[in-house]
Amino acid sequence: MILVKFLGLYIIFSFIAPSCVYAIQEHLGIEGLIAHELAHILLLFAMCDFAYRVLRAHLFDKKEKRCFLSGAVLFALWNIWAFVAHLLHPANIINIKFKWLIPLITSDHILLVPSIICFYFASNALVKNRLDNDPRLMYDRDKD
Amino acid sequence: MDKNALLMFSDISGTAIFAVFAFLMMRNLSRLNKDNSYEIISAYLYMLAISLFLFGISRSIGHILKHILLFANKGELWHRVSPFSGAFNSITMVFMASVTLFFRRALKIFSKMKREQRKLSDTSMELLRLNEQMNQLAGERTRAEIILDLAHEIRNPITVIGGLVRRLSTGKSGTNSSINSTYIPSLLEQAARLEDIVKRFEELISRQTHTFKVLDLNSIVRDCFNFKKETAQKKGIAIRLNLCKSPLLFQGHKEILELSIRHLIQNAIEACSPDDAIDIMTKTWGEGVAIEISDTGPGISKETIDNIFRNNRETDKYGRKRPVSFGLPFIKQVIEKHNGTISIDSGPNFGTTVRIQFPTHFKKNGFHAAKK
Repeated sequence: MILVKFLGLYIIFSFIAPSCVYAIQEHLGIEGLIAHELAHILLLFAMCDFAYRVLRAHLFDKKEKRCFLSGAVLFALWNIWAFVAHLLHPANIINIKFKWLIPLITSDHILLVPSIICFYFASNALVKNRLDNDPRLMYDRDKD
Repeated sequence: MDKNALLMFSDISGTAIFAVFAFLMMRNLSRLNKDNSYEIISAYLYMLAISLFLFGISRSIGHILKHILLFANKGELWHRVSPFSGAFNSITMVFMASVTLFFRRALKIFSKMKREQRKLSDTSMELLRLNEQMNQLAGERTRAEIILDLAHEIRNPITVIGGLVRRLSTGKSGTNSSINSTYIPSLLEQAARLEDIVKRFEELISRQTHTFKVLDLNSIVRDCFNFKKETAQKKGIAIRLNLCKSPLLFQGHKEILELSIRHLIQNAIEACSPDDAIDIMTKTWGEGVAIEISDTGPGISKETIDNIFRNNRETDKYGRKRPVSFGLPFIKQVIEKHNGTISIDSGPNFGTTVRIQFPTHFKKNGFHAAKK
């Protein structure tokens, strides 16, 4: 509930006064960076938690599990990459000395695109396994 | 190509690819969620896909708009728009993180639902067992009542006929004319009563055919499979269902057939050990439909197979004594009443396959023909 309330307030204030809540995607100035970096940390934690639970739960078959796990791990790595990239971005004056890194830090798609492709393959495998067989056999691998 | 243009192209294509794959994933999981709306995990994964798609869209719009505006030399406009685009992007990220973190809760709910489902399944099993016992008792009582009624109905004409014939045989019946006028009509009357009783019984039996309806074998087998899969999985047996793609229509009595197929699956489960497997398959067969139940259990010896359908043996298909009389002889009777056939293919150490075949069309008077 606390998370929901927080999200609600976040949405309201973000649209009323984005600068005041430091929620600016472009991160041209330091003012948008804090909220965005916090979002990255939260997402990193969420993806690690997701990967751990996918690994532990007996919900998916080998292929589904592998794809979900790869997707979540790549997404988590992307978060670290993006977090560091935002700090090193030349738009942030204090880090202008890292300008030579621009081509590298803007290539975060190297992780993000494979991540979503893994998630897509996982969804494909789920549909194939569940719907091509009896739909009522969903998730019967659970042994909890 | 210019280095900046290359970076721009890579950025735009990367965000676009992400949005496209997120959309495809959302479409897949939407289909899954639609067909399994009662499954919380499907609903959760669909929600996760939506959050990924929203994130992909917000990211694509932000990045592509930025490049377009900067390319069109509208840097000032982008500067004004970017806070809102950035805010939306951060919101979608927080939303996605919240949805992802809900996985733990979804798993808990799912586990709880499974536990409740198992309890319900155990209760249903117990109810079914009690129901079977009640049916058995009711059947025995009905049989006893029918036999008593039959004995009572037949006793009077038989006694009268016996008395008349005894009088005729002792020569105390008088002249030929008195025999013709008194005894013959009485004998004919009692014979007519007997014929009437036999006719009523025939009508009673023929009424049973009205309970036969057009059924889909796939649907019956699926229900039986769902009913028994829990038991098999608890024992560590892999149970698989392979249904024919097209509907397998035939005529039969749904409840009795379900009871018989469940019994066969239960037999296979009892025979198998953990890590064995049971395969259930439906298919077309000549002018009919068929079901095969195969297991990788210890198999049955030839001697047991030879006696397996005998009425006097209260054994299951693996030769074990059973506490109840409902068994393979009854199943064979049921299958034959449907004009079908049942066969068992087995041998020690190479598993057992039970094949049941039903004709698609019930021929005229098929029930009686089957009985004969």
